[in-house]
Amino acid sequence: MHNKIAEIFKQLNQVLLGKEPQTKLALVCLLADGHLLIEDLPGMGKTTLASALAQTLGLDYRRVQFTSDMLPADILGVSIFDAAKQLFNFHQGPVFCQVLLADEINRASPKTQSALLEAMEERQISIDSDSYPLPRPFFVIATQNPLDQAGTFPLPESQLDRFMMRIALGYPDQSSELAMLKGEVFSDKKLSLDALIDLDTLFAMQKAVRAVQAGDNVLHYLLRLINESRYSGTYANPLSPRCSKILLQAAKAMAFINQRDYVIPEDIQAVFIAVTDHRLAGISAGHGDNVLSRTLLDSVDPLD
Amino acid sequence: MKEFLTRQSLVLINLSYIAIAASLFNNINPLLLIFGLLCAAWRIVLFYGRVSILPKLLLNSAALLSTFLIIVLVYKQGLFSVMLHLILLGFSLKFLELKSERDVHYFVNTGFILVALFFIFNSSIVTSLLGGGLILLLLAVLLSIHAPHCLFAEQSKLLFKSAAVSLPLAVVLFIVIPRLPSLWKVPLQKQAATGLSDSVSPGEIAQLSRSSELAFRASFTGAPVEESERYWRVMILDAFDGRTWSQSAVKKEEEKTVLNGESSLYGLSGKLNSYDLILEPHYKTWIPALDFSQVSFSAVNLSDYSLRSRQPVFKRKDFTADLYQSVNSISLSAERRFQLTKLPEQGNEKTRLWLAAQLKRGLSKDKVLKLLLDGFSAQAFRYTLQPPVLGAEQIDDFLFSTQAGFCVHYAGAYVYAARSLGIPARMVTGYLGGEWQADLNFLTVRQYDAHAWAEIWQDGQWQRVDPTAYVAPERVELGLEGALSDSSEFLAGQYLSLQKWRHISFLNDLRLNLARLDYLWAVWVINYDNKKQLELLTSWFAQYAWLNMLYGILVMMLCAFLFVVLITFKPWQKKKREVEDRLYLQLQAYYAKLGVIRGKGQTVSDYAENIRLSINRPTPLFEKFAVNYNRLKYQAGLSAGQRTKLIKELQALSRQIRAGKN
Repeated sequence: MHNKIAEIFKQLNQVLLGKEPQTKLALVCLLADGHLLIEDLPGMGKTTLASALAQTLGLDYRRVQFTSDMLPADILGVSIFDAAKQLFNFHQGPVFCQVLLADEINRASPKTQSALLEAMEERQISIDSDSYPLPRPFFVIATQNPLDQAGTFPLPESQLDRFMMRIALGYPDQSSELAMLKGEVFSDKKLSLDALIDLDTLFAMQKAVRAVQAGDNVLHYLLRLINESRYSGTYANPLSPRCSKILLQAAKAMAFINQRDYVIPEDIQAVFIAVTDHRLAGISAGHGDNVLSRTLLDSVDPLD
Repeated sequence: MKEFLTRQSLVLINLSYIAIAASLFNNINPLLLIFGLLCAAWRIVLFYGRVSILPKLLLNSAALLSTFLIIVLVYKQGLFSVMLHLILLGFSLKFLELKSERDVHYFVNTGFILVALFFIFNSSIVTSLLGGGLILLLLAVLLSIHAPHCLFAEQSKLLFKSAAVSLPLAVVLFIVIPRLPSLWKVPLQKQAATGLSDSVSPGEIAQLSRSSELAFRASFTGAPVEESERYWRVMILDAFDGRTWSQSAVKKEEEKTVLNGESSLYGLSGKLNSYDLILEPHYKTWIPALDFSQVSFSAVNLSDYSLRSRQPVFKRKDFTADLYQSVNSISLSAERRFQLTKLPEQGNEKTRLWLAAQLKRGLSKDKVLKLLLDGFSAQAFRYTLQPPVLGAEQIDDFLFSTQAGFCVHYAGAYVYAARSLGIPARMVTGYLGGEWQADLNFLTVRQYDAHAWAEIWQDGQWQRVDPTAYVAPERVELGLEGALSDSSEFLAGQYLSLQKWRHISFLNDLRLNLARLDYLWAVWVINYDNKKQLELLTSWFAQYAWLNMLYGILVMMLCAFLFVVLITFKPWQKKKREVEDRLYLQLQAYYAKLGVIRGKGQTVSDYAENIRLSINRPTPLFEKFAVNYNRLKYQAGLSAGQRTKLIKELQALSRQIRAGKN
């Protein structure tokens, strides 16, 4: 199983040069069964990362470009009256897939955003009186433009909370960009990758992630981090119990990817910023500096 | 303005204001109280946003105006009272500008000063507890400001814990810190003196109000003085104008010289006993004394054998007096003899005639006086606290018509008769008796034990005669209650007094226990002065001769300090480190010397990376240590064997690293 992981990494890193930490976090997020929010400027490779992930994991992948005039039905699907059968027929929307790339999610109106976000939480959608379960697995990789860009509706805290992680890609380093310009990597247009694993392997991996053990020592460390956010008085949006659960899940996936069957503080630290920064900062989140989660991380000693 | 106070803090602030103002209620002008409550109410209204904050100009002028008014109002009550009122005014005005945490600090600190002033007026054990409560309340205000996120239960826990921690320190400081003389004296307050007055007009008192208020307590070094001898002399009344017994000019002059510390010298001989007195504040200088007493320091003797303190007793104070058997007789000067036989020229003809008639019958002067006393016990005289009012001819009225009265009537009539016969005589006021508490060996004397008796000059010395003993011998033997035929007269009107209900045994026990506790408090806390301190410390350190007293005190203070440090840091609660943590800490210390210090949030792997970067070469041993450390600490389900093996490996690695093999 770990060979597979290494292969996946290799392939992803061939597509996105010099972005190992981000691809690792993205993979961790999917293995931990969470949704991923990628926030960065246009043209940084957000979409590339999303589609590369989907193709490499062999998942059915759709992309929806969000715009401000989009309606919930454009994502979820719509019931159409079939004159011949005298019945309403449900036509599935793009959300019925395994990986949904919600591009520029914060350009859509809040109504449309919340339609998607409900699907993310429940993993099923309800139209009229019928419920339609979504396929398994169901990942949403949403990309978001920084809030200071024109034409954006910020996601409220409650909806940010649905995403396990928020990551930023950042500029590539010089050598990677040079290689890109020389055409040594795949270009966006013809991105077509081999699927390296099948669905069963993915499920097996997710199961293995859940089986990773977390001893008392590391759980206490995690709780100290959470409690610091609650009781130190420094943080306006303290971390919720849901967040501590998600943090542990992500840390387990990180431990799994690092080929360990137990969690250590290094795993928690590796996912901590991606998992908590958008929760601690809330709407006011800028991009890139992650100052709140870093401060929190620095103020708790793993040794105690 | 954004409200910075929480509802809880506001409630606490108001509560502490009301409590402190109430504690000083007797000493402050009610107008100031009303003003303060208005200020508090304004702050509450501000809290709800119904008024806006006062402009600075208005605030300052209000402060100036109210200061001026207060000074005008209480100017006559003396400097001390003005100061008290001004502090309380500032305390009240603080409500108008309670705008930030700093203002609350001012408020609380002023509150502490007011609590200190409260202790000037009150020193009993109950009031000390009340004062402690006030301090706790003020601390609670601080806590609610600085720990608003704590639950109420947590806050109270913290409050009581910190108070409990500071108690032992306070006790040690109380015991060892020398008592410094006061930097400034509390000026004598214009307060109604309780207890005895320096003149008495028996004819005008229709009802003697008796109070169960404590006058003083006494304990004896030797055996307690017999009940019939417990005549506590306070004052001599040697002038009579037909209506009022008072002090003659000579006596008044002598009282004044007391403040200069001039003592009358007369030889005392035959030391019998000595006793300790704990006086309740009465704002005068007198000290009740048995015959014949002397206090070595801080008090002087008057020529009439009474004692006076050099300074007015404005707080509970103790004196130690020696009791002597006899006093060397001195001759009476002609002037004194004239004063002591002086009577109004006119009036009381019946009495004079009666006396003259007795003399004519050939009786000696002594016999005549004896006849008078026997008359008190034989005839229809009765002892009552509610005597009928006497007319202009007081003595005549009393002796021949009403024949009812209390000690002053009897003593007055007797002295009048003696003087008529040419025998120097004077009235003595003071206290008689007291309640003996056998288990702690002390005597409680209350205001209702006040008494008056007579002294006549015979055989070159003063002889005590108590005419009341003839009409009501029980007064001497059993105390006031026993002397009254109608027991409802005893403490009439004082329903709340525990003395009144002494026949209910449970209440009586309670009363006695309270009295006992208050006595111990007075002896050991209020009157713990330099002398007692020296005695106590010497008695402790006498057992350890090698311990110099100064070092002893230092050690004690150090102990208290250590106690506080320990209670604060609680080293015994420190988690016992696991082996791997100890090794890790050793290595951290080792690398810290090389200049690589672990950041607070750094994990062991990060630290390894740090070390590698800063010493600029690979550190395989420490990296191996990091991996093993993580396994040992975080891998669940390690078997005991694996643990031991890992620990051994870690120990070996740590040794190698510290030997510089990395």
